[in-house]
Amino acid sequence: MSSSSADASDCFDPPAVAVDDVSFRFQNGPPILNSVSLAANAGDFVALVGPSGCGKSTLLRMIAGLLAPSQGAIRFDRSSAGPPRRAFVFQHANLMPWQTTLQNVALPLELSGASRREAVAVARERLALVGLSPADEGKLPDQLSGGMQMRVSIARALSVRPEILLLDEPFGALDEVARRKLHQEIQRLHASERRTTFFVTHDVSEALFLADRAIVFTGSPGQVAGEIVVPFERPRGEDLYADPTFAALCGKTGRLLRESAREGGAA
Amino acid sequence: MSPPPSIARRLRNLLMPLVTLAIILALWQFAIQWFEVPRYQAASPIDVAEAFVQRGPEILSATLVTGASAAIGFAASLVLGTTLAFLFSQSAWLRASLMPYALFMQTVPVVAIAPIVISLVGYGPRSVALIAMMISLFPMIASGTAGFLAVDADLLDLFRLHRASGLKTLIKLRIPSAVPHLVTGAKTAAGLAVIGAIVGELFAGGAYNRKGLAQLIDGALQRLHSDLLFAAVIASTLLGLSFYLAVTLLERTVLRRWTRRKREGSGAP
Repeated sequence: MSSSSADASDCFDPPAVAVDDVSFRFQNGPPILNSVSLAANAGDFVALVGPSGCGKSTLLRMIAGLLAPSQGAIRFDRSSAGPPRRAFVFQHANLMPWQTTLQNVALPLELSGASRREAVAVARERLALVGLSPADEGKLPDQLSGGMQMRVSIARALSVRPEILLLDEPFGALDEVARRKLHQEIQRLHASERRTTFFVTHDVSEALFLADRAIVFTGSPGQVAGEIVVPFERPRGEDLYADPTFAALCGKTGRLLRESAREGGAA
Repeated sequence: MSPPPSIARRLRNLLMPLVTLAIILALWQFAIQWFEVPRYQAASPIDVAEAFVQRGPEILSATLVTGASAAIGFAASLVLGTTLAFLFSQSAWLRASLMPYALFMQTVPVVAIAPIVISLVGYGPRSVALIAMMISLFPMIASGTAGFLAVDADLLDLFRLHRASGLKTLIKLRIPSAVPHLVTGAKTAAGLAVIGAIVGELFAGGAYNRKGLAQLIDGALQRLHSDLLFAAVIASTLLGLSFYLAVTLLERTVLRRWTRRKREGSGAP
């Protein structure tokens, strides 16, 4: 890592995250989350699984600090002072169409006050990290495939060297092949630097393939239905999909999801 | 990325409008001669061409006079329109208070506004430019407001997450996001500015002692010089077209990053 970009990112101290009895509603709106509690250890990879509209994205935004809980609190526990660095990967790659790949990745650092040179140097490094070649640096987003755009989006999130990484159904719009490649990529990135990671998805097998733990949500208002500990060794390869224990765990998680949906009376 | 159009297709798209033009000119020439239309009523294409050659400097000078007023009006409308659009986008209260009047201004015909402007500002090119601006302002406000409001919500969150100041968000996100809409508005405004300038000149006169296109048209009508009349009308059209093309050129070069067709479906591999 470059020496000067540093002062902010020299210290890398991923926190444990405690979501403590959090409820959320927009002003006068219906309740979106109802007393949700969960915890992640420092460096954990936690998947939030649930039907669309169950408030899991809302929870992600609260952990990011983009929304404040209506009730309850979110706490970060670590030895360093101050709020942890957080980065967000959105459902759509959401790159700025008028900026090159490199400029897009450099953006968060520039916003955080880094000089352009520093930001570009780090951006180059992150692009290489997610598997883009230097030839892609000058391309505009619409010259890249959907999978490549998502890689750039991940590189952009990694540019600030986040201690908490928040991913909001990032692969929902991708085809199966691109998605599986990116699962490997995410796994590799997590192994190389263990940030506390929250990954929102409605796909049970995706959640179990990636996460240490999966928290299952039910819909309107969102509540925690249960928690599945994922026992498989890392690194996890493609062959895990064929593993009967993996299939059984997927089945169990799927049942939890369906049963709680029925109890909740959600459609 | 669509394949480049074949040479045959390009030739067709370039050549066929010229063929149409040739046929129209031929029919026009033929009709004038066949029906023996007197020269003071309507000029033939050949008469008009002659007028262009013989009175070229006069037509060019008038076009430049009108063009200058239109350009000043257009530039003012770009700046003022973009600024107002930004202010409108920032406050629903401001939008509610002023948008109806912006719309109202759009509905008042140029010919009705012109005398009022002159009574306030006086005769001369300043009034002409002002009228050109007023006429071309509304499309800038309308498209610009839509553009400034069309900022991607997730990108706004991203800027917020990384603690971008309001000014940085404006410069790096809001203004760039609005560019495609501003270009659309500018294309409409460009043509309107020229119309506004010519109508304005009818009331306010050209530049001090130089004629504008409106004076040329008016003078030709008074003296029944239909050839000059037609030539001046064609010059007016070309002036409007050149304004439009200038914006298009800007769109295809400097602003290319903003205006290239967005490929549909970010999900497609």
